[in-house]
Amino acid sequence: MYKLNENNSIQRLSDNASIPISEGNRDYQQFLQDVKVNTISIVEGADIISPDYVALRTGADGYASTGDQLGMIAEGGTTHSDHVASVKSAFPKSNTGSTTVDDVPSWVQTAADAVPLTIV
Amino acid sequence: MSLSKVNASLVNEISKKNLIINGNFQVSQRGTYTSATSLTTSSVYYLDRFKSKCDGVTGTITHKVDQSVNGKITDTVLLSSTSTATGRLETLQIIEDIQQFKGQATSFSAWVKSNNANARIVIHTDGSNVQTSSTTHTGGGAWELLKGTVTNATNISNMNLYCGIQAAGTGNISGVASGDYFEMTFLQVEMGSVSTDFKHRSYGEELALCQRYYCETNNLPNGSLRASGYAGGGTTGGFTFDFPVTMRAVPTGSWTNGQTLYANNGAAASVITTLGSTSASVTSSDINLIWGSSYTSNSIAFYTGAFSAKTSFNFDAEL
Repeated sequence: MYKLNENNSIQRLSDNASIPISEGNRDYQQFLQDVKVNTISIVEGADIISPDYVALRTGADGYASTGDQLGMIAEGGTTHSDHVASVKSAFPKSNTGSTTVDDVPSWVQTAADAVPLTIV
Repeated sequence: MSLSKVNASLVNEISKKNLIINGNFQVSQRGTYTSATSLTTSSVYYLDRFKSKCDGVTGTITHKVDQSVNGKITDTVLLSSTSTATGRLETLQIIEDIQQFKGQATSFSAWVKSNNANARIVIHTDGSNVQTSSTTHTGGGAWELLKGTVTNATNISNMNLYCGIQAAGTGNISGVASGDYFEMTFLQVEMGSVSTDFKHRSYGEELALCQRYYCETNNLPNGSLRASGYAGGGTTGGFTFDFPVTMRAVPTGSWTNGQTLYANNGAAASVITTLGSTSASVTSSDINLIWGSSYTSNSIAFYTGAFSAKTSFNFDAEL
């Protein structure tokens, strides 16, 4: 069994090896042979990960840097509390994230069809 | 020295070039096999550049160091049968650089010790699909030099050297007995119709040749694995590893997890749980890892705390 990764590699589930999509690699050649023999049902699509609120609040669109927040506090007024409130509002705790599995892209079948069957 | 003499010397040196890598079994990056290790019916790489298997019979492989062969001290590989049946014991090297051998006379040789008279080495070429056997061992239990010669077709597409207790066409033979063995060293494939003495390379030269096909970064023999890397957000991140030599092809990456590997952002350590992926070229890899705690820091150190077991990231570009 194999699973596709987001970054153009194939995970072999028997040993968790990371196989490149590269014609010269013998494990990739074996992957295509396995798909050819066992059909595309042995391949699972890549995970589509929706981040949870913690990752979003601490990510690029979340809280400002520590220095910037100290600046907001020093300014006084509601600048800092408004910033915190806006981030919390944009990424509520109810967002606990999710992972779904994408379809297997068509290139997998196309590539398996293109190679001759090797008899071992 | 005249130019013609220099050229003659150079040509002579090239003509003696041994196409077999690790022919005296100095290099064993994947592990230590000095104790008998069970073979399987599918070929597995143990010592560098050689993959081995048994078929029909059960068997073991053992790496023997500092053996005396033909008056020299060398490492050897021993294949042993542990059952009686029709079958074979086999070690194989797939030779990459075959263009120069197309249409040329090719000699192959090895020093072999065996108690079976079907002990031999065989050159197999595809395209022409020809198997050529060396002389066979007498089965007398002493070291003997086995040699063979073949003139290749011009359309060969690969060249493999098979060594073991096997048929002349590389298949199974009847009557392999438990206790039958095949020990070998000084394997050589060279251009020309005459086999010459084994061409010795230093360990460093041999290691560099092997690392074109397989390399790893690990915490052995007595140092911890350390790398500086990055946090990709949350519980993922990684580090880059530059291969010691350019690899033959983009390699498959894997992780051997014998000793706990940690990520640390300077405030707290977290145990690495999973190899996410290895995004690689032929010169380097980005090793992506998954750990337990969520880090927001961009700068992460990776390390193993000890070296009582092997932790390694392995890169395989074998043929």
